[in-house]
Amino acid sequence: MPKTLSNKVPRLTLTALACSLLALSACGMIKAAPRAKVMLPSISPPKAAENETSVALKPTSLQRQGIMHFNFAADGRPSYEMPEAEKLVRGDLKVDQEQTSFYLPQYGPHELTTKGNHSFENTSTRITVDSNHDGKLDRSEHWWTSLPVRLGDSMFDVAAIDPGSQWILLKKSSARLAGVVVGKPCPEFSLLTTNGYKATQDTFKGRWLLLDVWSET
Amino acid sequence: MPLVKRIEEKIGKNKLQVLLLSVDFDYGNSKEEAAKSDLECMQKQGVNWPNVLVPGGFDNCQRTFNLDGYGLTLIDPDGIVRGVDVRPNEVAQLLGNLKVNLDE
Repeated sequence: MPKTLSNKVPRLTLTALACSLLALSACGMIKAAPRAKVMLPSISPPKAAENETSVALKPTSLQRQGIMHFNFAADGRPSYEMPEAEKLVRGDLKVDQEQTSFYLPQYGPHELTTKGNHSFENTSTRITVDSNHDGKLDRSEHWWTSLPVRLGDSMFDVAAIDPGSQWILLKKSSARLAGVVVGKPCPEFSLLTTNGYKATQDTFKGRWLLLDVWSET
Repeated sequence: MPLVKRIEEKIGKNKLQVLLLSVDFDYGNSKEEAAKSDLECMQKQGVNWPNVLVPGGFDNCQRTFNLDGYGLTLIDPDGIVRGVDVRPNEVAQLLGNLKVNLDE
């Protein structure tokens, strides 16, 4: 799969790169570039349209692991930002009779679009939905605000986020239900196997199914 | 893949189906190239599970399943998701926690 470093780096390669950078850092060869954490001023929420919902965001003691950012200077020297634990704000919304809680970074700026070309380059704000209500924010519960987000059994687009993280404006999305959520039915899929068979969720009913995302490279 | 094969052997082919979602396609290589190299790899590992060359690779996996990396997702016989991002050695434990009688 991935052939170039710029936009096709598999996770293992990123891990290896991270380890190398940490080793260089320990030797004092490169320095971390700390990201400023500034609370931006809040603005008033826009009036929600018929299919939109404005949700108040409140500070929470829950934190989540941040994302490691890599930068390369003009001379090719790498620098990185250590993924500090992120302080979060929490939103609560009842969707389809189900109370859902979701979490966003306390500090902006919030980006609703991505500058990256691929999912592993997504630069939009991460939103974490505690789908299984266990009070833990697992990696599998992370979503990106540049894509539709699943809350309960509905999909939402993030229309706006207050720079001061006081509110979020959600819009009902026309995207089909997506995301594997523990305790919920697997979303519908229809995929063509290399043998020419169509594989849907119904194909495997009656047996345990193990979806294995893999790469030969 | 060898670890997943061991899970299949332990649980039984008639009780567990593995569906491979290959993210090798659409990253600069053709569908034929990806299919060929995947098949060679699977033959080397001695597995013949159905394999899907997911168009768009990780992007499509994320849009459909919200999966953004390699890993396993366990779905029960009724189509309910029972585990996401589980490690191979956790699958049997997870089934045990769900009190699944695999000897039936």
